[in-house]
Amino acid sequence: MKIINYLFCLLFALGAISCIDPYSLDFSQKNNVLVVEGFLTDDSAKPDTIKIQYSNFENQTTRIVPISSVKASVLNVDTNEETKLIEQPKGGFLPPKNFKINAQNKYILKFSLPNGQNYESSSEKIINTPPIAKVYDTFNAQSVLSEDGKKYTSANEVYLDTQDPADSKNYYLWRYTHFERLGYCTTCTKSQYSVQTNSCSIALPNFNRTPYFDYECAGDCFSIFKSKQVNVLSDVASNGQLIKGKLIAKIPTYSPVGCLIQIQQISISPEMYLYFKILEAQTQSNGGLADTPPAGIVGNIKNTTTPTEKIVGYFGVVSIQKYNHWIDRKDATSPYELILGHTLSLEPSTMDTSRPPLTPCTASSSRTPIKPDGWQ
Amino acid sequence: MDGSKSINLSNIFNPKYCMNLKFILVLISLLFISSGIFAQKSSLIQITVKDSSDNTPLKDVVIKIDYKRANFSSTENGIHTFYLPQGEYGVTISHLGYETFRKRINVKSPTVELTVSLVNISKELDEVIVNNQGGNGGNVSRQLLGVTPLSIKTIKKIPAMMGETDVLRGLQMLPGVTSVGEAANGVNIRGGTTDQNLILLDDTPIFNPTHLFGLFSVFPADATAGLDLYKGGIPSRFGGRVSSVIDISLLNPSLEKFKASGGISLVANRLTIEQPIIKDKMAVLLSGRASYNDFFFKLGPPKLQNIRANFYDLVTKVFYRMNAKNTLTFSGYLSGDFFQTDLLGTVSNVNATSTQYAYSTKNASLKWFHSFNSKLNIQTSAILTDYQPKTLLPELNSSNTVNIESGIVYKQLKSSLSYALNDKHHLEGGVSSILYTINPGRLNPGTSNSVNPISIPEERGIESSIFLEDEITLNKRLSLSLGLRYSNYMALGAATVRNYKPSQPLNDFNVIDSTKYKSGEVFANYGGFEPRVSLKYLITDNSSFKVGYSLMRQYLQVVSNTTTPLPTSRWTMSNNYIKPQVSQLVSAGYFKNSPNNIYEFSLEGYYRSTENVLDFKPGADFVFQPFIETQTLQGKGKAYGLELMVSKKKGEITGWINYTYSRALNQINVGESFGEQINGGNWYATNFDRPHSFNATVSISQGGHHEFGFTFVYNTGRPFTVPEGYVQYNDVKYPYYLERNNQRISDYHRLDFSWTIRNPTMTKKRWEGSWTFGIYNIYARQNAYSVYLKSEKTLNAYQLTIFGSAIPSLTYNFKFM
Repeated sequence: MKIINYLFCLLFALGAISCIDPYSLDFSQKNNVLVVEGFLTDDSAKPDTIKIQYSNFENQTTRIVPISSVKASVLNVDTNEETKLIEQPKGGFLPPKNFKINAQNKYILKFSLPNGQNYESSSEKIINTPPIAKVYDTFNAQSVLSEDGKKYTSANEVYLDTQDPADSKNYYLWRYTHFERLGYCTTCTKSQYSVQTNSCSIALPNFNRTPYFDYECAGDCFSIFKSKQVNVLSDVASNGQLIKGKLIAKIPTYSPVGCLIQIQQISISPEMYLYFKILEAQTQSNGGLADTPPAGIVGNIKNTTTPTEKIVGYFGVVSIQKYNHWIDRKDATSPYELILGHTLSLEPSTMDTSRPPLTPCTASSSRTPIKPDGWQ
Repeated sequence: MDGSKSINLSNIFNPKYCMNLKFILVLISLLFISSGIFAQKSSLIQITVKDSSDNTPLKDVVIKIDYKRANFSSTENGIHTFYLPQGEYGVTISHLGYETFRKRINVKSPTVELTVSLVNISKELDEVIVNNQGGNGGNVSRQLLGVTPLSIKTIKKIPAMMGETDVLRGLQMLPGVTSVGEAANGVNIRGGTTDQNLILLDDTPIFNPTHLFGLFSVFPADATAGLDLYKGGIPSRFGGRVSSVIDISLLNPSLEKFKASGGISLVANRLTIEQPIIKDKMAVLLSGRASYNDFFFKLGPPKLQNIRANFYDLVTKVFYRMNAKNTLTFSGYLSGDFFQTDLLGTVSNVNATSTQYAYSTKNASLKWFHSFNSKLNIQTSAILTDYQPKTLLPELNSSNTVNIESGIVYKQLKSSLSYALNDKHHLEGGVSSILYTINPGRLNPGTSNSVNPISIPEERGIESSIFLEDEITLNKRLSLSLGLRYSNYMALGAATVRNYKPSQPLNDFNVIDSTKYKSGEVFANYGGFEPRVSLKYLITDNSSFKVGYSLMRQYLQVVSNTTTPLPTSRWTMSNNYIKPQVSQLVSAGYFKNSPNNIYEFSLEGYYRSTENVLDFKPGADFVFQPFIETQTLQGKGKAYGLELMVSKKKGEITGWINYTYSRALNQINVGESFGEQINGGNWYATNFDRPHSFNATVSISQGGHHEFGFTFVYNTGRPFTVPEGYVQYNDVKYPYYLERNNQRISDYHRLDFSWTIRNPTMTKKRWEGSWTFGIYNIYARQNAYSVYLKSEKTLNAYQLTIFGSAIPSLTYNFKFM
């Protein structure tokens, strides 16, 4: 009897301890914050796009508002040489094609907005980045536990090794781009795809089955996933050693076939490291019993006209080391994650052999028809 | 007494007597049945009810037979007469101001006489001791205000979470004591941080008061006698922390006979034994508790499967009465914890597959008490505490575990003299010296070839103090306590102290040079007087008014910027840059007791101002940081509140209710830059600022065998930080924070219940068992511990609840006397 009582109590208690529920944040603020993205890199072939734009938050939604006619430049503090940045669509800027960073010199980003406000970053200088020594991955069927603690998602966990230089204090930032082959390029909701209009323009008013159709790609198409998590490390505990087994990414098991991950390793300044640590603490390493208090993600850019303005983002001058790693998924097992976010639903075949049509792979920030470097 | 039989109720359930009675009853019944003349007869019942202390007959008593009120045919001189059909009945006799009497009686003779002595509850010992130091009417007559004694008997009446009697949870039922939530690693007293409380276990300090990160307190209830909470008037003999003193005393072992007690609960097993070694001279107490069932977590939902949690504590106390004038006491305390949970984040910059925490405390004290005469005595103690937290980081694809060790070693010598000069003066004075040695962190790579050993230099310091206190009785109504303490702190080398550019933030970029100090060399020195004054005016014999002022200095603090400190959080001493915290508290109170001391009422108000409270720069990281000043900010704190409490100390129903209104605010404004101010340099609510707090605890004792306990807790939700909005940066949505602690999580409330059945066999034996069934959070309130934002595919807000449902427990306790 005693044992039964204990078991009952135990099961009751286990179900009860520590639950996490979605919470509706009740706030009606709106803001318009200037955000600066991107680094000045030593990769002149494929430079980072530096973005200067407003992030607008209103009615619970966030959207990017590009600013036109921004005048931006980078100033070599040591030589006083100012290089104008070339404006791109949607608030982007690129250095001129012939621009090369001098690794010995310090640079600042300067820009002015059409409203007369002038901005300047603190000065930054390249810190040499050691190469990535090795990248490897391993399949984990229980890699990611959902925040509510109810479901595991499988993933290939990608790790790297790198040799830390002994003669300097180093801080690392890793980012990656992950490519998956995409078989279906278009999803039409309550409609069918029209080859004539190249869009989902055939309306289906009495559509009462699956409310969408997926259409196959006409050629190569690759989904692009960028790292959404901040991943930084200080060599305080590993100066001069081989940094081993640094977790870089958890790539969801979208299919049994392989995929590509392009990894970038970047040496950053201590101030930039602190900035990314704060970013990380806001959204990744919180939710435990002992969270650190949130802090503003204000970086190294200052408004010289109105000094009280707080600007998000950090302008860095960096050297990048790259590594392409093929994840063959030989050890991966089902179930598979849904790359489109839903199960496939195909337009039924009819006598009309032209249907269902193949659809083009339109290049965007999340897909490309061009086979990425390192694809196998 | 012709034809009648007098029944002594104390014998009616004597087993021997019962056996005889049963035998006769059976015999008589058989006779009646066999003769076929069985019939129900009525008997005359005469019950005499008296006051137990002076045998005065009591009138107007309520007598219930089988829960129905009896109709008396006559009532004279406390003798109540009525008729009852023969049979077995439950009799309940109650009278206002007296303890209720309950018995089962067997009525079979024509006349039954009972004499019952009711116990006047105003003359019984207090059942609930929350305000009873200093004799009758303690709350009114005690000299200091803001002092609350809490007996272990009282704490045991409070329904316990998972059946583990918990001193810290008991404390939280008192006004002015709160915490950040159910997983708080300590309590907040009158707006103080957890490290601003000096927690003493038989004079030895406790640096980490909880097992399993706040779930259970480290004090073994079976070996604890009780505690005194000083949150207002703090006697001059205490120092070193600015908020409060929680002085917990261990049980003195019985010098007369062997005793044992223990219990089994869902969480842990306990055993305590007391063994006289030389009768009436020397005895030893041994008490142990160990948890054993964390493997059950593996059976739980995925979120819990990674949890490992085990703890133990072990206490010993040896008491030696050398002669009439000398006693020697040794207390030893050992505790250990091991746990692994994903809920506590990890150590940055060391690659590990998980994070495990292991920490241990070893405390010892040796106390010699010598009485010169009835007026003069001296007490001298040697104290040692060794707290060793460790973080274990298992490496990927390796059997190696990297670990980070840290620790505090505390050595103290102190002596105090107590002298009752005359009726008007009671003097106490003493000296104390503490040597602190802090190991801030040592990284041991083990066999790892990717991690370097790191050793942050040890911190050492000496805190010395001298104090004198005089309790002066000015006249029958007015008395005064004047105390003065002088404390001095010296930070000792070896040390490297950086020199920073003047008027610039203390960071790695503003270092000019550094000064090296040799071992034992003093590199920072602080000190000052700490006056403690309290005045009491007895308005009447049952009411008093008190005012007090205390100044406290603190040289040792925990360095943690988390909601509640981790067991592995770093402790640091004051140095050239981290100034000691200085707090001044002014308090006043009105105290009133009911004429029979059954009810106590108190109203206390306080205002505290603290200099040099510690806060932290955004993104501060203390692990492997030798120059802690680069991560900290110091500012001001203020706390104020009003505490109202009513308690019923005697009778079948005892308990208390209290309401507190309080605020706890900080202001950090070190420099003009964004990272050197919090909330633009304005006052902001601390993490534990909970303006409204209401606690109620009720214990209902039913005839000694059944006891029911209820507690209800209500607190305003603690502050948390809501972003001003969101920004999109690098294709990720981030919250955009400007102000800290600008909203509150939902209010906290909870009802607990416990039912204790003592000695279920109702027989007097040396072994006495009891069962306690409890339900924590009876109406399954999902109290939020924290609200946070998590970056997943999108940015989502979540609420973390520690106990989201009702948690039943069953505990078996035993005593062997």
